[in-house]
Amino acid sequence: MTIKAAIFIKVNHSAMAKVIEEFNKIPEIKKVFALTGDYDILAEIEVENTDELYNVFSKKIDTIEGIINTNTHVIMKAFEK
Amino acid sequence: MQNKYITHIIIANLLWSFIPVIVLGLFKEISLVMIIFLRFFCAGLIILLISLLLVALNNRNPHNEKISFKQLLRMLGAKNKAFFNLRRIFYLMILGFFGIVLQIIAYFLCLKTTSIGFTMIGFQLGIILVAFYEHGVKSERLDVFKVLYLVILLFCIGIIVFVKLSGPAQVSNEITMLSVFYLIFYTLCMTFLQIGIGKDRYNKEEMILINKNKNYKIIRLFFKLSLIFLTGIALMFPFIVIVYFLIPIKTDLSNEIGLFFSEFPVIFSILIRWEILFLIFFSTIITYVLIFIANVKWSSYNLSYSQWNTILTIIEPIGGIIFGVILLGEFFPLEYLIIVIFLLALSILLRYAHESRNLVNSILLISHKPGILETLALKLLKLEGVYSVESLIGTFDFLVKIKTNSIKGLYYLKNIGIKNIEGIEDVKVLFIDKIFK
Repeated sequence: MTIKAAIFIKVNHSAMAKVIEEFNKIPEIKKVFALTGDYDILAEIEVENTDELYNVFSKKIDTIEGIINTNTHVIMKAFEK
Repeated sequence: MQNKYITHIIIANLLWSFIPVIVLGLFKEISLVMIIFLRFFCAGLIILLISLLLVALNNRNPHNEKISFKQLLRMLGAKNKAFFNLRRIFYLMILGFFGIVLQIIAYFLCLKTTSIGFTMIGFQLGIILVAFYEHGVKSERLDVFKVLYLVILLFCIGIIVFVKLSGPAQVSNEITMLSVFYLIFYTLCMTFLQIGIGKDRYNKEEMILINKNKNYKIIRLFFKLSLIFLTGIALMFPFIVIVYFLIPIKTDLSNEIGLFFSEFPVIFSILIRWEILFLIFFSTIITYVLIFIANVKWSSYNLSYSQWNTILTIIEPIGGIIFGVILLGEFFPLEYLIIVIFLLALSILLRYAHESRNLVNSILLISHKPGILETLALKLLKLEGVYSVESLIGTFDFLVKIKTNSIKGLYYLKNIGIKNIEGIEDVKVLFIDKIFK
């Protein structure tokens, strides 16, 4: 079963472009939003299970330089018009 | 992917722009009431059959959530809160009669008594009226691009009227008070249709169904359109009987109605004429299929489908004027034609600049009190501007993606629409600057 998560990220402003570029290379990240507000980036991620979520997070996202902190939410259900 | 669907809107508008050229030839032989009857009755029936076929096809697939005819009928009986709380069937009847039948009758009478170029003024006037409605009622901002856009449309109207008045007497029909009345009447009906068609919201049951089965959206669009056409045509009959038998004054319309009654015995031979078939299939069914597919498949993040539709709607009068000159040899001096086409094309760019400059894409992060999780998502989704709601586990309870036409629209949505929902504790706004992937 697919797990979807929303990761809110704060980054060093000088590293914004680089972080987005790195995110664009990660296939599990389906959409990246550059934001203005409490967070700088929202990355929407889709994985098959929690193990994969852990692996993507620990090996691909956590290692990107310039990230100050992240706040991850699991999406329980999505509604659209 | 979105570009593919923009071409759907362009093709639909080009197909519509052929209508004046097609019907002007038909007016010499067939009553305009008969053309309207055959076009909308046949198209309405075919679109109704398409919607029923889509229901059957959907229900044959075991993986799809079932859509029942009862659900569609319940939708018709439900009250439309966005349109005077009328039951939806009455809302569709009003749209069908005023927005389609009366509009097209006045449009055709205007075409018949003036010219294509002059009749196209109605489109530009309609756009101007809708813009004032958006500004006055929906508080949409009139920025420099929109003001320039409206000024250009007014300027084009001025040129077209000047060309019409200065045309040689044998080529140009005179502008009579009656033809101006037809023009104003069809402009008002068209404006009503454009504003009224958007005043339809999904009810709670439909929202749940759409989130289980996206097919319902397109089936509902087809079903709704077929009923707009068919109920409009049904109401046309008492109207023409009243005009023909009860109003003693002979008008262009009563003459057309008399002709319509006399044509009834040969209705099938009229139906199989290529012009009528073109109107039914290419100017109605195919155009709406294209438009509906674009509507349903549209990407949520960029300018909305209806915004693109508004931007590109000017293609229809551009095409109408060009085809009128090229195919029917209508009087329009080349230098004025080039200026009008250039200005109308420029107006497309200005409208695009206005829409994209004022578009506000944002994300709201919502926290709420316990006990309302199950009902809150649908309440949020019903609000205008909200296009997706995600229920979260984490610091925040909901991630809501919204798109408004201005910062003011965002303010109203957040502080009046969302904060007034009982149980909402906190709303955080994040503006989307750019979207990648």
